[in-house]
Amino acid sequence: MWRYLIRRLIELVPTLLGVSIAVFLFIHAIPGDPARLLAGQDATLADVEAMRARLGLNHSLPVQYLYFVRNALRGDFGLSYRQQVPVLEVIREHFLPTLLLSVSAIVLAFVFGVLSGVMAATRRNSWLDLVVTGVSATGISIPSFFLGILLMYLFAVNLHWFPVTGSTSVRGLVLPAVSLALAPLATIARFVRSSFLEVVGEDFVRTASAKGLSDRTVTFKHALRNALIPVVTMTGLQFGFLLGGAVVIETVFNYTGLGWLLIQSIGFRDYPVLQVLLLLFALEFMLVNLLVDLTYGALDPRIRYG
Amino acid sequence: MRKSFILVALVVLMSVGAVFAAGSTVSIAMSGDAITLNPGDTNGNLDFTIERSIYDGLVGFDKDGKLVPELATSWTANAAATEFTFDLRKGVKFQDGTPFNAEAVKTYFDWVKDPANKFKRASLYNNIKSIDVLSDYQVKFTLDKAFGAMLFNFAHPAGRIVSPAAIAKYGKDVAKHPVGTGAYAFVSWTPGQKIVLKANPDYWGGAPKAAEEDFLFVPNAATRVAMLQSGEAQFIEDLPPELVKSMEGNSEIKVTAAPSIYVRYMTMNTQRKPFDDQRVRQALNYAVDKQAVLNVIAKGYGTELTAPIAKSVIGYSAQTPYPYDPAKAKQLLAEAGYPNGFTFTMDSLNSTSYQQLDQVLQQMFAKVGVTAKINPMEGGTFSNTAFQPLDKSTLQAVVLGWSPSTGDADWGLRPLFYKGSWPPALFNLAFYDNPDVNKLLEDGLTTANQQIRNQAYAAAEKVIWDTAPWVFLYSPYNISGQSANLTGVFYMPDGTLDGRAAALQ
Amino acid sequence: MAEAASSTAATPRAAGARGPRDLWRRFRRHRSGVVGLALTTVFALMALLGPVIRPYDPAQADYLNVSAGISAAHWLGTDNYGRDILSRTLVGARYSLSIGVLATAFSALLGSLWGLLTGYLGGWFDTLSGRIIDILLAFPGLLLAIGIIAIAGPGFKNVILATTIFGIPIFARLVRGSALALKERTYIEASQALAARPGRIMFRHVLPNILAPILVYVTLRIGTVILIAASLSFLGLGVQPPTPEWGAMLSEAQLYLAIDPLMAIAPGVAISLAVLGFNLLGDGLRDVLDPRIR
Repeated sequence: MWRYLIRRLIELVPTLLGVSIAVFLFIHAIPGDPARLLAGQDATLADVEAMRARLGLNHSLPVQYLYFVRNALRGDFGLSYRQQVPVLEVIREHFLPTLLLSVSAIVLAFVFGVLSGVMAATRRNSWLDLVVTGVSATGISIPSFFLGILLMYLFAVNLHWFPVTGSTSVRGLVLPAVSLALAPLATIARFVRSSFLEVVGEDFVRTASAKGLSDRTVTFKHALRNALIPVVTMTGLQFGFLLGGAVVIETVFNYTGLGWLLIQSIGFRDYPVLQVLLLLFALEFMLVNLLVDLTYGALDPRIRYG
Repeated sequence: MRKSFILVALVVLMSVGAVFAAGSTVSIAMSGDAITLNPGDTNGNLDFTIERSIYDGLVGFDKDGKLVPELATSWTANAAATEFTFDLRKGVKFQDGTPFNAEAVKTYFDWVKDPANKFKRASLYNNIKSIDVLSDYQVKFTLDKAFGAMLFNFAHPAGRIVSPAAIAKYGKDVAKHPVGTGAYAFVSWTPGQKIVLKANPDYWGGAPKAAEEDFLFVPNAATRVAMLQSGEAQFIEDLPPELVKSMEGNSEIKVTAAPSIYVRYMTMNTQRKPFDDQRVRQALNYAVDKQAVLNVIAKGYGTELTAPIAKSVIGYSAQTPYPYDPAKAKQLLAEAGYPNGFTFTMDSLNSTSYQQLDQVLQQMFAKVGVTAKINPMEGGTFSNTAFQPLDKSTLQAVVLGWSPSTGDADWGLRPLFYKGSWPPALFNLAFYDNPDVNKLLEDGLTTANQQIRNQAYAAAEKVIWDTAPWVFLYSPYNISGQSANLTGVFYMPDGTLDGRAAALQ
Repeated sequence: MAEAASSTAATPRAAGARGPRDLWRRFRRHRSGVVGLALTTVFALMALLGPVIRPYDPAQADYLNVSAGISAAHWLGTDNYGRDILSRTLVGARYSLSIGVLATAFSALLGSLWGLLTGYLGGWFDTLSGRIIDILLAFPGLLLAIGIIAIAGPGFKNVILATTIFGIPIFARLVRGSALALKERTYIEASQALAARPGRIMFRHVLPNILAPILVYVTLRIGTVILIAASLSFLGLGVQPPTPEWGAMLSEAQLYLAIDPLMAIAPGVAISLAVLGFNLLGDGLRDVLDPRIR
């Protein structure tokens, strides 16, 4: 197990290095001159050149990349072009809101997804099952921003139950979190339902039933535990996808998380922020994948890591 | 039982009290996000708006764009427009207790223009050769050469003065720790969300009425309107005209609109076919029904252009508008050798308001046989395309806007029509080159005598108008929404807000 | 977990043994699958006939009649330019569906080829491919698409490009796993023993065996791509107005929701139903073709 973990972590290093080069090239390939954008439409050429020097953009690309790696290894990720504040400080300011949003969304999705999935599966073909299957099929198909807009105008603009803009307060978190949660909730509910049905059909559950264990015990102790394996995988994967989905929802609710920061930074060609932000997204996504693989093993004793 | 009743009553009273206390907070929803609060390093209207509450300049503008005294009570300039002397207001203190005096003025401008600091607005003041403290309350600026528009550079929002103690303490971090002489003092800044200011009771202009002023950052216009409706904001900046309708029927909120110094136009590359022919450019001016454009795009909130600069810019001189006359347009096109029209690429930014304007223009041009292909671009891509020298430029025509941040004709004309302002130097995207105009624009800077300057600019505007490097469109109003019980927050013509006198009735 | 997904996909031709008539009979009994088929058929018809059956020119502005509600002339009202919302929604089907179908087809084609090659050739080529796939998959899909758009610029073609590129590694990984698994099977070993060329083995033996999971995945993927494309347009990075692409329409509509809610509801519902259609159809196909794929 530990050897497996260490091997997987070591494998991340070359990927991360590749990602950092890819990110660097990609950022510099975006058309647009940060010096010009920051100096403004009515800046003189001298203003623009002064700005270019201030940003350190007068070196060649490979040199700039090597500088980046050298400084990064020392823990120095440079200053945000736009705000002239250390990049890590900028990212830290926007990290907490996104963490809060995506964790509340995934918790909502997991709890209600598993609950409704189990309910649907145990009462197969009932009206409840029909509702859950119907809602989850729709939930996967509705774009999160459309849902966000609808919720915003219903509950914020017309009913005034929640503030219009998202914030880290509980009330401000509700609408963005719900909008973000629906798609993973639906996916998880479908998964729980189908893996549950599958597991219920398997021998050992039938055996457990035959041994005279109560329905409830069978459901929760045996079937659920086994059904959880793909569900955890799925939840983890969904968590990875949330990072992407959050970009759109954060835009709808003007919620100032990392996704919001990403769109802003692309607009201003804020290279240092973009570089670290994209690396962070990639790392987060890769770690989530690794974590999923590990949890998978912990839940299913049949899986052993070599 | 009685005890708990009293407790409940107390809690109720306290919360009522809290509501009243909160009532003296004015929340202003802004259309973007603040970047810096260092006036000398600012180039966005949004930052200037917040700085307006925190700082004062030597001179400033009033609501109508007229030059007014602020920290200077009077001023003189020599005839050659190389020396400017200010008498300063006495007894003023910065919010950190530092006294305001001539030394503070010198410290600030020396700091802003210092090339080592690389501040964005250094170019407004780097023509200052020396700053002399004549007495505690008198300061003299000497320029390296004549610059008649210098007073407007001092009135520019970048000329608002930072406490010398704050400069010494924070250096460039003044951007996040602003200290001025203004009506409101800085309290906190939550990036991307809001900036909180509190009243400065010692303000030289009288103690502010609202105890707290919050600037909230809300890029989505519909969200801003919703916040006004729900009472989360008392004033919203940049209300798109098409949303005015959504605010009707609510007596607690109202729409306010005021003329701006902003102009919208389509610039044409005068060095390339087909726009090298003056008749073609004039034809397109006749082809556009400006009143219809105003009604459709601005919902009537604006005025047709009658000069290359807006009415409230100093140095404006009215010209005869090009009437809507498609027949005349067709005739001019035929004379220029395009009886069947032509096709051109119309570049523009990709924001909704520009795209709406593009489409309306496209339809009007189509009526005289001219086909415009709309090419909307993202801001960064656009600036890359725009700032290319003529031999590399792909520009044919661009739908654009300009606002001279000094409020003076020089910055409303020179960056756009002067030969020396061709890209990449500045923003003369028409690649306009007219010897008379070049000369007149230079003349305008050789004196500080406003009457002589105005004559030069009036003559330049006439030539520009007649040779038509632009399709002259309109000057939009600055439109805002506010609670009916709010007073003292209003738009300045330059598109910034003045919220120093905010008060809730 | 990607390994887990690909190993299930390696199931041998579960469906191939049965005839198409048998498949159709089984599919007909799959209720939600049939609903999916019906929905996708309606949207396919809309995409084909939309420009013909639309009541108005979707680009024709009517400035005297903006944001007008439902009427006999305009069944879904008009938008902020006075354009007919129904016509725009009908024509929009063509954009959203062609992005979904084309991008998925391209990525399935290129990704499968890549996966077959790397899975079959193995060696350094496989190792290198694996790394590149890892790097591409290190980004959440929408972010990768945003990145590609940031470089290439917005627009219809570039949205297809972006969604194609981020689909390629997904198919490559899916097919590579299947190809690896199949390589070990006896009948391929037998053909190798008979000295058949590798290319022939790939296309004659490996490919048909993994067609079923690819087909299922393609169907599901179309829905995802439509969603991603709409998100891109919503962020202003995708298809640009005035093109009546649904995501772009929604983006414009957000400003007018209080005064003209149909501007948002029409394209929003259209996207949701189209994606729902492909998802249901994909689920149905999966259940019928191979109940063991998940």
